[in-house]
Amino acid sequence: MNQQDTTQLRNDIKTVARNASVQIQATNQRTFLEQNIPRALTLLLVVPLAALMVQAVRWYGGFQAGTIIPLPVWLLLTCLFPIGWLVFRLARLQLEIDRHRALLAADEHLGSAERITTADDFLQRQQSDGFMQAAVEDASQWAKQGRDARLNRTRQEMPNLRRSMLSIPLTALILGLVIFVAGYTRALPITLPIIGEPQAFAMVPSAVTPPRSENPEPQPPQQETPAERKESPRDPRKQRAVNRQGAANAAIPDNADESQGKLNEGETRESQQSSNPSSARGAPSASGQPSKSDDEAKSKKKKPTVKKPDRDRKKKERKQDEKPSGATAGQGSSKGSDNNAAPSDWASTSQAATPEDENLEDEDEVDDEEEEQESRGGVQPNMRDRRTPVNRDLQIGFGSNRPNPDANGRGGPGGQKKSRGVASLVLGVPIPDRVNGQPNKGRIRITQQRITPEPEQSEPVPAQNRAVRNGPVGPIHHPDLSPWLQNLVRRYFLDQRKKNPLTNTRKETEPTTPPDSLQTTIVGESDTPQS
Amino acid sequence: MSSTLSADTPAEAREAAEEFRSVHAMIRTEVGRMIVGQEATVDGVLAALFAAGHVLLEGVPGLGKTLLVSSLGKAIDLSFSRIQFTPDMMPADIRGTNVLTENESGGTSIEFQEGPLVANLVLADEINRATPRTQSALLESMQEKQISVGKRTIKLEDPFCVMATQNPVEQEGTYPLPEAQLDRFLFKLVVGYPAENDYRTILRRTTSNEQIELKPVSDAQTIIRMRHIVRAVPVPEHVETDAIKLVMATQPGNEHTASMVNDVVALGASPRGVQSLILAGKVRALLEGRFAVATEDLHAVAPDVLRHRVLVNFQGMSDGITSDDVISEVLR
Repeated sequence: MNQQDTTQLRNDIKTVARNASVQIQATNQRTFLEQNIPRALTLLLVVPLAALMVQAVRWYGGFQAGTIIPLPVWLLLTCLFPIGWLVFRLARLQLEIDRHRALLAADEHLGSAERITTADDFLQRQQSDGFMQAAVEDASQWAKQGRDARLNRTRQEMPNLRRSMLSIPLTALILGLVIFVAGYTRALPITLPIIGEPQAFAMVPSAVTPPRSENPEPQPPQQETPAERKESPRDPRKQRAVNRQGAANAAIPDNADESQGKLNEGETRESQQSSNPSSARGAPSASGQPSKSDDEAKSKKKKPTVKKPDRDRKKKERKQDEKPSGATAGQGSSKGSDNNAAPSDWASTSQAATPEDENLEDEDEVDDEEEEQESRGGVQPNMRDRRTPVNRDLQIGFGSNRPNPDANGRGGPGGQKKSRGVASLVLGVPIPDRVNGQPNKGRIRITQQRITPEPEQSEPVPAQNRAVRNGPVGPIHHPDLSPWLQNLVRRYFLDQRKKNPLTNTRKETEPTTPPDSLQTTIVGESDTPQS
Repeated sequence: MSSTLSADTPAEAREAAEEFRSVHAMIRTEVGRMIVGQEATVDGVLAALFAAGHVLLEGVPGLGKTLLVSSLGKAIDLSFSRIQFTPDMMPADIRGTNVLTENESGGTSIEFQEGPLVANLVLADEINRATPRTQSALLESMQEKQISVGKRTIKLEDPFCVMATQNPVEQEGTYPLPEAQLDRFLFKLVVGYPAENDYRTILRRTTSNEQIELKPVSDAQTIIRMRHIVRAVPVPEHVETDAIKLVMATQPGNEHTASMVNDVVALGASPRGVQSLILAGKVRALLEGRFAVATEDLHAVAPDVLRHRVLVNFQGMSDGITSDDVISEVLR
């Protein structure tokens, strides 16, 4: 490969890398847009939802109608938010494709087994042998093919665009709701300063007005605080309970029903929920003076409408509220407070209202409570005298090894129904074995004493007196030598003895080795001859 | 044919590569006269031979593992020896030992008698039946290509290749190979059952009077030259990087390691694994008609190279995960 061909190949590889890089960038951008346009469509909902929340807060906060930001601006923000998000993400996308990656992509597209990338690597090296040059030559035709190649990147799975398209009508719907809410709040008779745009008023139909505006005798706006408006009888359940209570109360005159709508809700219910029954039968004239217990009664009535996550908190608040109620009852009446109940667990669990009970509480229960209070003359049972029933558990007591004094088999808060009478005498009731015994001969006591060690005399045993090893000692390798090899070995050692008389004298003192034992004298790699 | 290689020009490199493919094809064809099917196994054995590595063949009895290696010994004019490993075999039995001999003058002397390990092609049949003591006698010869007995060191002739077989089913009376020895094998090839058509051919060849005599089609010098050609194949930088990352991905606690490997692998591949990957990749690149190693070569040889180097821990074994599963996860 001459210099011209090498230059041509370099140019080809450069072209391949540039084209591949551009195509990879375009593919990445296209893939990014395909992946993120559905998400951007979903983001269309963000601004309208925010607008709706702002309007809801304004509506509940008692502000007057209108929007903080003009409606065209809301519309503009709705469109600009997803676009801006897309542009931001696109700008952060890593678009720079390095040469190596582009060449690998081209190789993969061409199926050239990385020949172009390899040639590009070898061309940059200072020294090259025949195999490298052959590899470079091998890549030249692939580089020519790759100059005009169009990379077809694998299409990634797109998110469900049709589902994301649903966000467009949903956005329009929410925006319409925002407009509706803005117009609805405009008609509220609130004297607070108007914050909003007059265009929003124009889009609200004049027919949309709250029912309170139809009141021929509108109350002065300064008398209705936001807290009182929360207590307004929008809840039909509360309204029915109020009506029914008004009907049941004999002391209230007939025209009280008519005037009930004018009365505050808490004022009427206060007489029912008070812990003092005598005050519940109080004159209507007293109901017109809200007191501290009135607020407590309001909070009690609102509890059933509280959602589940707030129940525990409301329950605690109610417990706290009941304490001053008991104190009030103690002042007004000598009996009639639940705080006098005996502080037993069973009693508390049976009498404490569970969240489910709170859900079931309705106006019928209110009536039942009234009847009970009336039948008892408003006197609550003295819970202090109530004693916790004994446990039915018949266990004799393994842990503390003491019998349970209350275990007489009667009553008790156990989950299962226990047997009574004769049934409890049947041996089906588990009775532990009471026979005691010791598994050993008794307690063993070990006492350590410190003594001085004494030396012991032992007789040295000469090695010659050791007995010959016998018995099973495990597998020992005893290769059977051929007779000529035995003779050879024997003659070898005899020669060795002749050469070294010192060894001969030592050998003579030792017991003579039988000729058969010479079989083991074949030396291995580590068993060098002891001569 | 000279065993040295001169490939300074592209033409010489092309000629050398063509020669490599032709020698490979000749040996493969000759062995194929005896071995029916098992093409992947035959290619793996030849690749290990040309890459100057050793190969461990694992398969149930009756698949022709021993026949393959013995056929290879016949097809190549090499000194071939077979060692049938047994539980009572000692290291001296395979390396050789000093024996007392009588010379011509009637005198005696201690001489070293070579064991069967001193050969070019060694078939270590049922290698897992020998005790670890005897198995360890192969360590030095497989890595250093030499045998040390006492103060004597014997250099083994090139080419030297150990082809061992083992049976994965029978665990009674067998001793699993230590990791140090497993790491010295370039490939661990799993021999599978033949195909249906191969059974017919096997039946015709083995149950009739047909006698197949293999003749040597290559020799030691040729094999040495083939090994030089393999080592002359260049490796691009990105392929080296891929090989290193591939091996590091099998090592637990490494930055390239997947969470699955961290959980189920007790021991990953060693640096010897990278060397084996590259050498085996070079053989494959030559056989594929290329002059440089590509990433696809690494991925193709990775299971055979890394299978015995990845040790699955107890958690992985209890989950039924094998080293092949780990390698598949690493290659993904």
